[in-house]
Amino acid sequence: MPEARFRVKRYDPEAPVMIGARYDEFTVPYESSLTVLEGLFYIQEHLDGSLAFRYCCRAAVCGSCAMYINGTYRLACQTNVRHLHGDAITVEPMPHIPLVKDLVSDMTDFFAKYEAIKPYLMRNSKTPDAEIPQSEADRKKLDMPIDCIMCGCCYSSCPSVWGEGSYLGPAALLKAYRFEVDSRDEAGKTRLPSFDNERGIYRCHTITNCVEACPKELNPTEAIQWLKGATVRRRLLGRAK
Amino acid sequence: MIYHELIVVGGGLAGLRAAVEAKKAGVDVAIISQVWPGRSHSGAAQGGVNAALANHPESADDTWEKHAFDTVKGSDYLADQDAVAQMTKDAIPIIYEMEHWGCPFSRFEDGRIAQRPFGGAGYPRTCYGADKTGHYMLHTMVEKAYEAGVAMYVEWFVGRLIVDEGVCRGVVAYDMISGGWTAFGAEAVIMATGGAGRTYGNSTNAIISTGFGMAMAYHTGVPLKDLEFVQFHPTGLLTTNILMTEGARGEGGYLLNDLGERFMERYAPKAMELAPRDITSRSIQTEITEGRGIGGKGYVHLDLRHLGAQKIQEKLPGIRDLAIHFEGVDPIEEPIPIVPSQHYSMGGIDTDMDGATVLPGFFAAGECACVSVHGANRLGGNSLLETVVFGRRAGAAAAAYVKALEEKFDSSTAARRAIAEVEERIDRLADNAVDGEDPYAIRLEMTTTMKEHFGVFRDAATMRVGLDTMYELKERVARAGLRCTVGVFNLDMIRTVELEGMIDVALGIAAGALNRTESRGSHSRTDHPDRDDTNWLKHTLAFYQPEGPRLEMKPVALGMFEPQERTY
Amino acid sequence: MRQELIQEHQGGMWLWLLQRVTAVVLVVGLAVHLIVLHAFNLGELTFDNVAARVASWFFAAVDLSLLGAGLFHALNGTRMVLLDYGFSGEVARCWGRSSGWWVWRPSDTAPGPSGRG
Repeated sequence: MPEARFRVKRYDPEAPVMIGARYDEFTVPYESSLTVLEGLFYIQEHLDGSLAFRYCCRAAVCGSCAMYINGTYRLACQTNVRHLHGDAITVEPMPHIPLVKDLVSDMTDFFAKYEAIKPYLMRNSKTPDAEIPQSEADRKKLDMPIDCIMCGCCYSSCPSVWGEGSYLGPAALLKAYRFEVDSRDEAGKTRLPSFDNERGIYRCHTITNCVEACPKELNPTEAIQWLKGATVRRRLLGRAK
Repeated sequence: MIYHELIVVGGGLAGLRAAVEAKKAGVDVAIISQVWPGRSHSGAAQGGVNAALANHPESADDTWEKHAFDTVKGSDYLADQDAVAQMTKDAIPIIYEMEHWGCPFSRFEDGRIAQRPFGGAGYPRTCYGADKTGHYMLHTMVEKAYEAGVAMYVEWFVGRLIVDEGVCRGVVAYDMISGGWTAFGAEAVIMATGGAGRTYGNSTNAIISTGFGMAMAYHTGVPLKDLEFVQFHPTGLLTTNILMTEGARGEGGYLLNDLGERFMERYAPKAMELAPRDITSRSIQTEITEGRGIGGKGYVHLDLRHLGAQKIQEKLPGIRDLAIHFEGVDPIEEPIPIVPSQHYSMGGIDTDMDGATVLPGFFAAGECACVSVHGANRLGGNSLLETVVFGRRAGAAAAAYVKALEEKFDSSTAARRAIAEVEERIDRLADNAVDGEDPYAIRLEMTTTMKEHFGVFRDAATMRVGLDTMYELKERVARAGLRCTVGVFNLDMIRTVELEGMIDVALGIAAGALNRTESRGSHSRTDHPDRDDTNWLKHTLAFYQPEGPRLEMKPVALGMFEPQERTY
Repeated sequence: MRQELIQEHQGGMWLWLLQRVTAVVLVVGLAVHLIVLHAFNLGELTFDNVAARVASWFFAAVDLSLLGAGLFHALNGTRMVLLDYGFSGEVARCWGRSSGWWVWRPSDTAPGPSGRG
């Protein structure tokens, strides 16, 4: 039976403060295939019951298990150990985000920022009895942003977030883009104040770490640049979109 | 003690929809969820949601009555027809409402919501957003809940209900982020915790779909209905059981056996791959049992190659990603190896059309409830529909119930007692830490037993062995040992506590299955291969008893359609 | 934190837009400046020659706009760098953050002793 060696970064909020991080090593046997998430479950069930990590769908659609695995942002459920190199699999929580315990990050700010950009469709005109028509071309513009699973990889990878804790970050701005670019949205200038400022879109310096980190291969940077242009078009030229 | 007039347990589509509806009615409502609501298992739904919008060129004369007929026929006539009529009628406005709230459905050229054919449906009436419909609907609902200002307690694990003098008065929950158990007082509780997929070892469901919500209701005396009807999805990925949507067949995918035959022509010559799920799963299982699995092994192929790269990338991008990442197979180049996998619990908490149960102040909606609109077999695209239709109805009914209450009496004593009971139970589990049973060994044995003894095909002898094992596991789980009792994000505690509930629900499934001596929908017995409308056209109700479930029967609401033979 | 995040801020568009515009002015203006000075023979570098050149509106406009654009672009750029290093917030936190993210390995910064990175 093959075995995988896991090096898991630990953090216990109740333990006394120590210098340096603690890494625990575990050996996980498996039959033919093992994902990192399955490995973590094996550790939690058989080796160390106190290990904490997030899990839900195990099919890369819920965004719970985003982690820093062998120095790369990955979803633990989607990462098969046979695709990882090196003699041990190093599993760490997403860096630059406060921790709750072990691999569980504190996502409070992340979701507060998401809430701050008013993430919902705004309408003024009378709602029709049937659907609001949308052309295939307009719907296509949504393809990229609606696939976001809010895992937080982009947010954790963004140096602008590291530098300024109140920067909205790529995920929230991608969500703002998702609504601003939607042909059905009639927010006009109401959503603008939430991101048209220097802890919003202008803090993005197109570093593109987010693009690289995204496990869904989305492009928040491009979305933010679009928002900058759209803001100018709206404020100076009075365009609706 | 935290107080809200209405508590919704579970932040999936049904829970969110209920909360939004109650909030609209002016009730102070809070959602308690084990995960951030946008991570709920509703988001894993892929194929679509049914509504007779008649947008598809081939469905111009589609009506809600035809949708109702397909649903009832699909249910093998066990669905309550009044509830089905309500759901299919509500489907049209509620899908438009989802669209108005921003749900990014795919579109036809004329700008209307796109629809695709789905299993067991007479017309293409499944509205979809690529192959991520659940994800899109869930995120739309989350956004709506944020807009409505619904209070959310995210990452709280609900451990039990508070019942005071026969009325549901709140819940006790564990704060995963800060640690510790807290009582939530409320005038009413809506349970929307999803299905019990994880009682099976081969489930497509999320790891949090344990059925623990059902178990909490069950333990307080609310009966669970039709538990034995467990849907097996025909196409789960071979190694992980991850769902490959029915939409893949809706778009024209083939099911092939080792000989390269489209074997569905033997079982459903008209509908072919788009037969209902129970029939398709049985066909696949039969092929496998008779040795025509690929290479004689236990799987068949879902072949999409003839659809072409462009169609796959446009209509089924999510499926392709999943197949590549989890099975190492690119559907554009190769057929996907698939097996029938546990997918959905048709059964659940016995509710009426408004989500109300026998326990005053306690409502349920979504997969954890059984209205019943799915009867013995659910049609694809009806589960997302059920969550929003009955979520809304439960939310409205619970809000009306709360507002009609004349006095709001104090239940803090009952709350304290409930917390004490939870803590006592944890202590008891902790006492077994050293010499107790390993809860994870029990869990594994349960999921294996359910998978092997209560699968696609069932018979008395196999089930009796399985039931005995389940009884033995129930005894062992009482002695389970808990190693970690305190601290934040204590997975050991959550998973051990929920295991007890899972076993009770699994036992209900097992007992109900052995008891029902006929084949109907997803419940297919080789020793009783025929449907028996004389004796079994009725629902099973399971009542909790410490020694094992007590089963009762309840009539089915007929009226619109007379039961007839079911062929596709 | 939460309140601060929900609160809406205004401004930044003009600075961002000007930064872009001045960048274009600099790229074009500097090119013109260099080409004119080096490729064309403008006579000897004497006071009279230079004075005559600057008296022409074309040279004056190019040089002044270059100066203005350069000043704005550089100063605003520096301001943004300072902002990125956290100078907008309370100083202690800023220094922690600004010195932290490049000295330490990324994963070592979370969690700090206070439990917040």
